[in-house]
Amino acid sequence: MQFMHPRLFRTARSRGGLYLTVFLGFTAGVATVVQAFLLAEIIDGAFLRHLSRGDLHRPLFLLLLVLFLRALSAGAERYSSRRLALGLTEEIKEKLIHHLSRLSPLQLEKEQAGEIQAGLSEGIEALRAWFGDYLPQVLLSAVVPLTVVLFVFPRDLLSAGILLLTAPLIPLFMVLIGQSAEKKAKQRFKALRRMGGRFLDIIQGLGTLKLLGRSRDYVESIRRISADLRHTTMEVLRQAFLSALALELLSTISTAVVAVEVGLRLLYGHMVFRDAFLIVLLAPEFYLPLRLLGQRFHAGIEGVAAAERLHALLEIPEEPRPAGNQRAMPEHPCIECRGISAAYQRRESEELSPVLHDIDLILEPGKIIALAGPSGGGKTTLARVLLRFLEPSAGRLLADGIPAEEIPLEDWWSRMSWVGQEASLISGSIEENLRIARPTATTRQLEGAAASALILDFIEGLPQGWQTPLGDDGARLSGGQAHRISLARAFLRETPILILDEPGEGLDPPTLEALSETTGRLLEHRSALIIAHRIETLRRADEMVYLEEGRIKHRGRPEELLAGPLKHLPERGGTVG
Amino acid sequence: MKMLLRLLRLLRPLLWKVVAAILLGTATIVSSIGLLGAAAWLIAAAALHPSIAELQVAIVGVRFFGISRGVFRYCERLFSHDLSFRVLAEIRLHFMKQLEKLAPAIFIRHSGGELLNEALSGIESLQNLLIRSLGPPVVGCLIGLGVSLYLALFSLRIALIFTLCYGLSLLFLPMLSWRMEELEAARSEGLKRTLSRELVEMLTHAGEFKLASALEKRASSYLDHSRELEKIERVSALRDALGTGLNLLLQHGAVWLILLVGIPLLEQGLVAGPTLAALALVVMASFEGSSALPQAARQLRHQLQTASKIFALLDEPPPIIEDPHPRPLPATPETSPRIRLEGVNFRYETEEKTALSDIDLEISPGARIALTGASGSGKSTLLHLLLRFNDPTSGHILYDGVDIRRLKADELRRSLGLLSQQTQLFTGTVAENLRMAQPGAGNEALEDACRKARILEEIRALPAGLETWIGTGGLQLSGGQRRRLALARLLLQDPRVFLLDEVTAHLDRGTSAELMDSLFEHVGTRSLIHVTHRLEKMERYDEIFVLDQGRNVERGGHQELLDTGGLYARLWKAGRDLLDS
Repeated sequence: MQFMHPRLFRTARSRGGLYLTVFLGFTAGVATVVQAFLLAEIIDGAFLRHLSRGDLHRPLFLLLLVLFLRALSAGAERYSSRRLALGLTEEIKEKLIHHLSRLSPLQLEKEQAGEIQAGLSEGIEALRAWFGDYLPQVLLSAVVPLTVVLFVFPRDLLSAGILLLTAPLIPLFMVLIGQSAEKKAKQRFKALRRMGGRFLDIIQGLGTLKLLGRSRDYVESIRRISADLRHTTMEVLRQAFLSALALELLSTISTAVVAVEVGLRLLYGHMVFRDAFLIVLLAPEFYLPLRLLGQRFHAGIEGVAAAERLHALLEIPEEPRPAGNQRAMPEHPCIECRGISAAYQRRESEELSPVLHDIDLILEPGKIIALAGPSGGGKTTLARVLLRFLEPSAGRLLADGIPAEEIPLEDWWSRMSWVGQEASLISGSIEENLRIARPTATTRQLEGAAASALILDFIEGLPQGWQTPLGDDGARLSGGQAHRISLARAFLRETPILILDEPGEGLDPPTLEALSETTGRLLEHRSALIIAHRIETLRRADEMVYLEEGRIKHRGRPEELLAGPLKHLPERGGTVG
Repeated sequence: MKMLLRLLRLLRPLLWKVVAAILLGTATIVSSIGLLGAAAWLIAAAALHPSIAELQVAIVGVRFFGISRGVFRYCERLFSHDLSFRVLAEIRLHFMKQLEKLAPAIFIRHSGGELLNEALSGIESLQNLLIRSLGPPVVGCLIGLGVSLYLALFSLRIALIFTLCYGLSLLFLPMLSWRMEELEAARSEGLKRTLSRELVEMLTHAGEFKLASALEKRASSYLDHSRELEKIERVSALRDALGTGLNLLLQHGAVWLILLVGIPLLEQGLVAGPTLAALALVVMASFEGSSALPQAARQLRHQLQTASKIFALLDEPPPIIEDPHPRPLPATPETSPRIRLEGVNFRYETEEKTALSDIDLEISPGARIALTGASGSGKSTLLHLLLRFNDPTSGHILYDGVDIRRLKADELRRSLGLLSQQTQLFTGTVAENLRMAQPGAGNEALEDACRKARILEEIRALPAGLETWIGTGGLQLSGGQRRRLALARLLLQDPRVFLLDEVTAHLDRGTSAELMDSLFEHVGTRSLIHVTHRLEKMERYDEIFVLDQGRNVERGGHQELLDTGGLYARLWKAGRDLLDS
């Protein structure tokens, strides 16, 4: 454990706000000391020197001034530190989002989605606490106690000695206790997760439990699980509270020791009242920043952990951008795969798990290729390679003979549309949902696309028409309607190449049949690669490719294959052997 | 306010613990006040050079308070945290008990269980209700009252000044923060939801956005919303800072005012010097009692809102009302009951369209019936009515001649075994999962069921056999294993009727045929109702019952219906066109 994380500190230092915060905190600290000084002066005057209120008007007025100054600077310090934290984390967020938007879709969808979400919500919160609460407190803990000691030192050597001697014990204790508590907490964490999971389980399985006639028993068991959870958590907390107790005792007992020791010396005339009173007032202020630091110790640890996680996200490597001669994508390209293999990086290990081997394929303009084969055979991966979401591990991808690496990605994508198996609606109006495909589309183009997808009448029949909201809190579309929106997007894009994962069992057969006509229209005048889920679609293709275990097992004209080696397909579906 | 009372009622069994926690909290602050007050008095009295005996009490006081503060704080924390977990357990239990009455209809209504997860985390957030929201105001008031009375012993005027300043800090600042929370919370929570939604969309649809070069635009929209939220948070930071400043001003302003009126009192000899010094510091220390309140007010408001959301969920009317004096299941010599649906209509309360209209169906003992139709035609709803997840809006369902509303719902459900597409297993061991269907079953019975479900060999191969931990929701098993384990559980349940809900969906045809063959074997002479839109080997059903928009449009044998050339024939033809995915 270290008090200061160098990289985070550098980030914070780049902003003037940090110095302002520390300056304001320091001002508040000085005001506190001066306030104590004036308070001692006034009480000393009224009590021992028998001065009247009129005689004391000067220190009284000054005291009022100082306490305004203290309130002002303390408030300003809070604001400035929070604002600093907000600004810094916003910057980090921005950097992260921009970095993420440059990653390949596969990296975003698969591996990191959960991590990214947690990072951007909890991670940012934790960082805010680090920048806003922990960091200023560390700096104040260094500055304010020193200022207090500087005041005490010339007045009473002994008290200053006690303060200086006990002060380093606080951070020392904090580190020692914190470390052991952290270890304990980690050990308990697993048990806690297990119990928490059980609770969730019962909620989610309430339906099943009810069917088994066991729901009431299990609800009663919640009582026991809760009690276990309480015992385990309390064990962790007891550790943490014990450390807080040690810190607290250290500071209150020191304050008490100083008070008694000063009091006794005063009694025997070794000290004057004003100094003694001042020291008693200052002793708690001396420990306060250190105690607050102790309270924020946790924020310190969590902030660093969050920073490391966020940093790991920022370090996800971007796909290498093609360098050298950038060439334009032809208008109506012929896409060619030559001996392509592809593999996915497994998350934990370095090894690649291969999914495509040595694929040769030519997608000529106006041609339709249908992919079939068992699940896990590599159909989706091949589509991803063509979309350049996944770089092949071997072989070449060409467009009219130009190597794909030499064509900028944006250019490549501008010739392609992709319709996934599941309609992907975003929350927003129907219009926004369509505009994803082409942000600059005119109303006419939107209507045209919707009409081609046979959804225009439906949209215009809705009470809010094009502005009908979709998604979580919006209108619910049937599976077929949602898919038509996806198809309308593809119509809107008007690209020469279409890559389509046909909807399968997610929709019922009558709906699939109804969609088939629309899909057929989309295929006109385009080249297409279709992951087929219906026999009808296979028959419509110019070429059929049957993939199994990442290799092309059969290829040829669909009617020939379906009459020959794949003639069992219509009866038994796609599984072979 | 009503919400608060409702929550407090839940806390009633813990009343004494709550009182103790509050007293400990008060004692902690009293110790800080005592420490400063006694120290001030000690110093001031020592300045008059009395004999040491006169200072003895103060010296003991300073030492005592110096230790007691930490100890009290420790006890209070330990005690109140323990208490808050108990509070949480009470609320949780209450929630689950209510939810149990509403399940599973409520899960169907609130699809995806999202709402439930939200409620769950909402409940967890109520954990701090006591420590952070309800405790501090009470402690603050006690401190204010006690210190005011104490000060009044010496001077009414000083007491009045304190009461005024402390009262402002106790009431005004928390109210301000409550009001602000009211104004901001809705907007900032809305923005937070938008942000997380936008992020999810960005990640899951990254491919499509990239293709259309729209990802950058989505990213900047996300950042715009994020900045908007930041603005709100800045305002709230400003408000917090203002609160901090004002509180300090009230605290030290009170001390200043007390000096202002105290000095003349000292001159007149109405208050002794050491007393004035002590009172000034007592006042200064007392403000610890109100410092946590603005935060508490904000939390309280937030928690009350969360609580009302949760309770609104629980306040939904129960989907069925159980007969208070239910009849036992009729005992008939047949293996399965005779079930008749007579003129059954059903409409979900929230919807206008009827889900089922005029359904007449008889399931005689040993009958095999297939229910089919397009999605949304009411197939699953019909099963749910049989299982009494809901009751028909009109019409009757008779179980061996007895209306199922008169039967004990638990017994009815146990006699109708449901196997569905999603297999629900529980965190725990294999044996624990199986014993849910038959508590107290011996290992032989479990193994027998596993053998029938063709999973025994695989279970024996697991590291601890039946006692193997299968992870959260059984996720350490493969999908196929989970399905077979659920089947074993169903066989242990030994139902009189088998209800199958789309069990073959998303299976390839080979696996699906295997599963259905083994199911038919286990069902034996018992009745079976299969809800499916995959029409495979339909010859083996005695009757096929076709639904369209909640109405029975066709019924009869497979060949008969094909010959009719109606909806069934079309569904069958369309289904044959589908390849495995």
